[in-house]
Amino acid sequence: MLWESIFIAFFAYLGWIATPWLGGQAIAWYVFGRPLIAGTVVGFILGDVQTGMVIGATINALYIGAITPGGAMAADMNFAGYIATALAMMTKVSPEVAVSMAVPLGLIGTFTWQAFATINAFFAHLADRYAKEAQLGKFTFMLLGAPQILAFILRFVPAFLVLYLGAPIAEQVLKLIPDWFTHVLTVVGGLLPALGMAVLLKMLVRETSILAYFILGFLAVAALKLPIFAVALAGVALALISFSLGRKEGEAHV
Amino acid sequence: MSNSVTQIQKADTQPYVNPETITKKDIRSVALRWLFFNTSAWNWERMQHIAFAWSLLPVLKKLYKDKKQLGEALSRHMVFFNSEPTIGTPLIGAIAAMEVEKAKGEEIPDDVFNAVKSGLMGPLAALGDSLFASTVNALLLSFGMGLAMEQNLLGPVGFAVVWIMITLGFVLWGTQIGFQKGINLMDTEAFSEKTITTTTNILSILGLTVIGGLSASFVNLTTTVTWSFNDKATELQVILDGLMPKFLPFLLVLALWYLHDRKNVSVMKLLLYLVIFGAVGSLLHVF
Repeated sequence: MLWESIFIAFFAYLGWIATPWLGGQAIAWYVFGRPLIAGTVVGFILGDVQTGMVIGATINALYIGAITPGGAMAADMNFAGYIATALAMMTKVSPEVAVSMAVPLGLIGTFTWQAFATINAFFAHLADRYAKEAQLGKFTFMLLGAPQILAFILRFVPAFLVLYLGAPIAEQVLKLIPDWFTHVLTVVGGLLPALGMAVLLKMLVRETSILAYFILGFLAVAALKLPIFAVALAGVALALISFSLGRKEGEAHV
Repeated sequence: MSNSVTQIQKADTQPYVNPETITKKDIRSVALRWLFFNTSAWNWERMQHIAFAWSLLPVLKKLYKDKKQLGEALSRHMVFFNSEPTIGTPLIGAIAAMEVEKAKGEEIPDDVFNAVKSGLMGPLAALGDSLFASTVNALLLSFGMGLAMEQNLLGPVGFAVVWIMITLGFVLWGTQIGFQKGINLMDTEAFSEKTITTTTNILSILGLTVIGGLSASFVNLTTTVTWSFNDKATELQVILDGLMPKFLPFLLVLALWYLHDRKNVSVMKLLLYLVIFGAVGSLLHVF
C-alpha cells in the first residue's frame, strides 16, 4: 500500500484549496477537492473506479453547497473525501461506514488550513520588502515557493501518514467499533448538509419573506418529487417574474 | 505646501516615456496567473494580496522598466484584497487598465486604486460565493453525484469538464472586459454596485429555490419513536410523513439558519451542537 498511499496523498495535496498546479481554488479545490472527484481518483488508484465513485458521491452529500467565504472553512471536504474513501476501500467497508469516517476527518482537516493561513502572514512581511525592491525572483518565491512547501507539508504528510499507518489499524479498529457508534455517525452525517444549507441561507436571505422561495424549492423536491434540474428551472422562472415585477414598479415610480 | 506635494507626486509618477503596448495576450496571462495562484499565499492578515500583485506583473513589467518604479507599482497592491476567484476577475482587469493609464502619465493616486478595489471586491465576492461557487457548483455536483451513484463515470467526468469550462471561460472573458472598461468599470451600468446588488437579489431567488430542493434531497433525519395504544402501534414518522415528507429536515435547516443568521451563532458552534444533537438523539433511540 506504500505507492497507493503516496499517490492518494499527492492528489489530496493537488486538490487542496491553496495548491495552484491544477487550477487554484476555483478549479483544484472546487473540482479535485470535492469528494465526488476525490473518490473517483482514489478508486482509479486502487483499481476499482466504480466503488470509489459511489463512496465519493455518498461522502459528497455531507458537503453539498459548502463554501469557504472569507477563508472560514467549516469542514475540509478534501481530507474527508480522499482519506475516508481510501480507508473504506482498503478495509472493504460500506459507503455508509465511509461516511461515518468522513465526519471526524473533515473536522480534523480544517486545522491545517488555519495553520497555513496563520503561518503565511510571516511570508507576507518578507514579500513586502521584495516587492518594494522589485526583487522579482524572491517575491515570486513568497507565492510559489515557501507557501507551497508549507502546503505540501500540511496536506501531503498527514494524508500519507494516516493512510500508510492507519489502513492496517483501521481494519482492526473498525471491527471493534460497536454498532451504536456507527449509528451515531450515520445520523450526524445526515444532519451535516443542513449546516452548509443554513450558511448559504444566511448569505442569501436579507428579508425573512424571501424564505418563501426556499420553501417552494423544498416542497418541489420533498412533496412533488421533481428532479433538481426542474427545480432550478422553476427558480429561473420565479427570478424572471420578480425581475419583471420590479421593473414595472420602478417605472410606476418615475 | 500643496505645490510641493503635487511636484513630488509628479516626480513619483514620472511617465514611462514609451510604455510598450499591452496586448490581449498580456491580459490573458494576468487572468491565468490569478486563476491558478489566487489562494496560494492566502493569509489572515491581507488574504489574497501577494497573488493580486504578482498576477499584475506581466503588465507592470512592460510599463515600468525602472526597478524603483516597478517596486512602487508592486507595493501599491500589497494591501488587503479578497474576492471570489472567478467572479472577481473583472476587477483585476480594471486595475491593470488603471496601471496603464498611470504609466502614460495620468494622475491616479493610490487611494483611487484602493477605492475601486474595496468598492467592488465585496459585492463581487458575495455574488460569486453565494451563487456561483455554491449554487451553480452544487447543482452540477448533484447531477454528477446522481450519475455516480449509478456507477456511471459520466457523473464525475461531466461535472469536472463543465465546471472547468465555465470557470476558465469566465476568468478569461471577465479579465478582458475589466481591462477594456478600466477605471470606468464601477460607472459601467453592468458593474455598478447598484446593478450587482440588484442582480444578486434577483439571482438569490434562483439560489434559494435550488437550496430548498437540495436541502430536501440531502438532509436526512427520521425519528424511530413509536407508541402503542389499545394494542395499536403508532409510528411518529408515519404521522409526520402524512403532514409533509421530509418535515424534520425542513425544520432542522430553518432552525440552523435562525440560530446562525438571527442569533449570530458561529458555524463551529453549530457544528458542535449538531454533533451532540445527533449523538444524544441516536443514543436515546429517538433517531
